[in-house]
Amino acid sequence: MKFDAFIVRDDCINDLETLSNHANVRQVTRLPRDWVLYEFHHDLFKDPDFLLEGIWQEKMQRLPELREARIDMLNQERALLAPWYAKKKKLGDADALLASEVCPYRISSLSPMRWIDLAPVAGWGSANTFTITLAAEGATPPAAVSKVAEEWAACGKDTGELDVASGLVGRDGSFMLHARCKYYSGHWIAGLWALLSDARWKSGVRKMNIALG
Amino acid sequence: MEKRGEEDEYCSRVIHAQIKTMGNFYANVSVRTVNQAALINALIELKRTAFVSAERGGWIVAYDKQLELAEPEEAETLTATLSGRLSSVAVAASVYDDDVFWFCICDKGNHVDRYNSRPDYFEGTSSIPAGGNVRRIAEALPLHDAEQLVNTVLHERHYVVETARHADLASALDLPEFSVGFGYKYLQRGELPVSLQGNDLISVVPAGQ
Repeated sequence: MKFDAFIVRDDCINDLETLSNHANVRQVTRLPRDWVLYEFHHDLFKDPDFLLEGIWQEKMQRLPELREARIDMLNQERALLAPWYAKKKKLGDADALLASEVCPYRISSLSPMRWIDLAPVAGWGSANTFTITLAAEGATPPAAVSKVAEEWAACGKDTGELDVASGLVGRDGSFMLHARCKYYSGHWIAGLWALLSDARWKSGVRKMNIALG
Repeated sequence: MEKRGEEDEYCSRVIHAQIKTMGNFYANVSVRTVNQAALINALIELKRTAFVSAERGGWIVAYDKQLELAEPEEAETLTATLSGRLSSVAVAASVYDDDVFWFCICDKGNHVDRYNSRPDYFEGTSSIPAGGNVRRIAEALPLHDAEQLVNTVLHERHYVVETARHADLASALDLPEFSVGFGYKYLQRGELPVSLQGNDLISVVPAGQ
């Protein structure tokens, strides 16, 4: 199964109901603090050549209906993010892109982001268990980090997809979260990355390392 | 609404890059010196990881790895230290997500001026630029007839992309063009300024790494 995943602040979308009711949208998850994650599915993802370098462009040129379908797909994706497209200043279809082996994550926000340096490892998108290590300023977790991590864990528990074994465990100025995941771990890891990168609460996290198992 | 032509190619590049943010993120320090060896020695003594450019027009640029994540205070400390050790002028500049342009100037170890295009950016509020006193800048760098231009670039002109402000300032101050748009991370992944060849860069790594 291939799809595009979006992690957006809720002021980037028209409304949650429209999003949830869209025929191609699945797995809408309300993340804490105004963030939303959703998957966008489309028949084009079933094409084995989809976006393959050197093949896809040629195929689209050869098959006009395929090109039309791709444009329609992009227009659908973009229409869901109309408020963001109306106000964004930079080039591109997201403020940040993360790619896992499962899907690309497009992250969009209309307010400043203080992007954390993320160190993903192979397999981070579909792991059953993973450990996130946050390198923060200071020896104890900044209050904002603890709170955001707590809300993230609670959200995961509510959906029945994520089980965080313990809260932030401090070690040598780093803070660890151990979690078990039923669905795609990438959704939760990318979601936490976006949450902690939101500049509104000054998480103070500089780097986020991922380890599997 | 039709897609931009490069979109698909962009997606495939992202799969390799893993992470991509849309605006430019970079930081570097330009030092007014022709003594590349002295700058490299200073960086080694400070245990920094960096790329150091060849000298062009009396300037050498250090693309320091830690500088890209540094808070302004740390960046100013490094700039003042390099400026002091080289007994010259050093200009640190950074661009955050093409939303914020920051620089500081030090002369012989002394702070001259600092500037931030959006000091309240992370508060989520709009604000006017802070710092960037043209008279102070002129004390360290000969501005010739560019004083008004520098003031316009720093305080009057609106930039959608802050790298463009950096480029205009670099041009007005005669800083090397390869100080604009490049930092350690970009160079490490193989991007190279047009005016530099690969062998124009020297990699500095602390002993034991």
